[in-house]
Amino acid sequence: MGDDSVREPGPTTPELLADLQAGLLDDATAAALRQRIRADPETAAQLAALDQVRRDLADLGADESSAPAVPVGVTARISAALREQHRAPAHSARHTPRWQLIALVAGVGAAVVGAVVGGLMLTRDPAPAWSTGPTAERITASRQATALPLSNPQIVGLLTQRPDYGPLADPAQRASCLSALGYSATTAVLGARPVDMNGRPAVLIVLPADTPRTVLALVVEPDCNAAHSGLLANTLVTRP
Amino acid sequence: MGSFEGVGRSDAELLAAHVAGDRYAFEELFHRHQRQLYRLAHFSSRSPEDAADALQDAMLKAHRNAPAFRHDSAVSSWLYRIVVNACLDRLRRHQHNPTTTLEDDACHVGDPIPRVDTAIVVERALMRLPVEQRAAVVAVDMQGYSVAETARMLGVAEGTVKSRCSRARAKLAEALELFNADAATRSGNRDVEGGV
Repeated sequence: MGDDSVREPGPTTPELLADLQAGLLDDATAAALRQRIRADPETAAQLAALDQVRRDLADLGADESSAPAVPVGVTARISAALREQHRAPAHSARHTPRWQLIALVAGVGAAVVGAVVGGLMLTRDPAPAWSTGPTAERITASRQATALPLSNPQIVGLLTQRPDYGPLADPAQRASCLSALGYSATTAVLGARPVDMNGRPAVLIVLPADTPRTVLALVVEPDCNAAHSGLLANTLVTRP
Repeated sequence: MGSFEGVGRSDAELLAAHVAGDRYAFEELFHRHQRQLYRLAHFSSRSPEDAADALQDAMLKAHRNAPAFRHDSAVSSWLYRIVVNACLDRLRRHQHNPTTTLEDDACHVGDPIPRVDTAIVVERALMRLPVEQRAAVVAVDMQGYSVAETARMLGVAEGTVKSRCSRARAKLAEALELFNADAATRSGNRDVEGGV
């Protein structure tokens, strides 16, 4: 046969088979191991098990239906970042012809003028920077009728008041609710108040966000629990 | 139903609308796939915080680069790969940080669970692997990156990626009790690329 130089692989272990599958073995060792696989059904079954792992991983990578819920704070934060991104629209990133650069320069000049005028206006206007209207429709996962029932200043105002949990007064249920929302049961609730959400009772709770300057306001159904968060709306609010 | 325009639009239509200037289209795309995107980020990151950061980086990148998408794959697949890429990039930049590794014999998932729950069992077993091994199989087996691409993204040698994949697959097969089962009867219909 002339195969005297072929190195016999050691005992066939799952690790050795995995090395073969991953392409880690030298040609001679791999050839000897393949021969053993052909001759030994048990070894072949072990290799099939490793192939099954790869199939399971591929299936998991494409299986959206089994993916768990995302913590609401993560969703809110990324949604806010995407909205911020819209100040530089994606389609503006294309290659820009020279004639468009002229228009771009003119546009930038106009923007600078606008910024200066705007800045002057702001320095003269002592009015609060908060919008007086609700803002949650810009953040929530579903934008239909999901405006928060409180304005940003009202939400910030809750931070200085004793939380009124209403139907979530039971600490155990509250902890369960926080868990469903993707938070630790011990997360400090910064504020809370029963609210009316589109004619239905709900509870607005305020939680810490990623930065000290922001808080996360969530509106949940009164029966929020570990199995059902009943999340109705959420938004990031910047403290003044 | 309200006036939300994203309802009923395909992923490709949402992406095209985003490129055309629809300020809500990309966010709708993100919401549609966020669970799987976050899961992939979680698989490929050291911590939930890293996963969230990487996911945000990836979404902002996809948002910016949408005009360059060539529609040669599903939009969701494109998003998945951007997320995994972002996670691997973070791992590469922080590869000297200490990692939490589990003992080899800790990689068991408990009692056998019906095959219908495969996704949950595989996910649980995967999360018990060291992040380096997890990231390697997520890139190669889950997202179809080549070993060379994965090695480049992680900033390691190709042999290192192969070794991590090998160890991860052996541990997963053990944890999923596939070595004890009749693998032939459990195998699906789909073949794995690059088989032996």
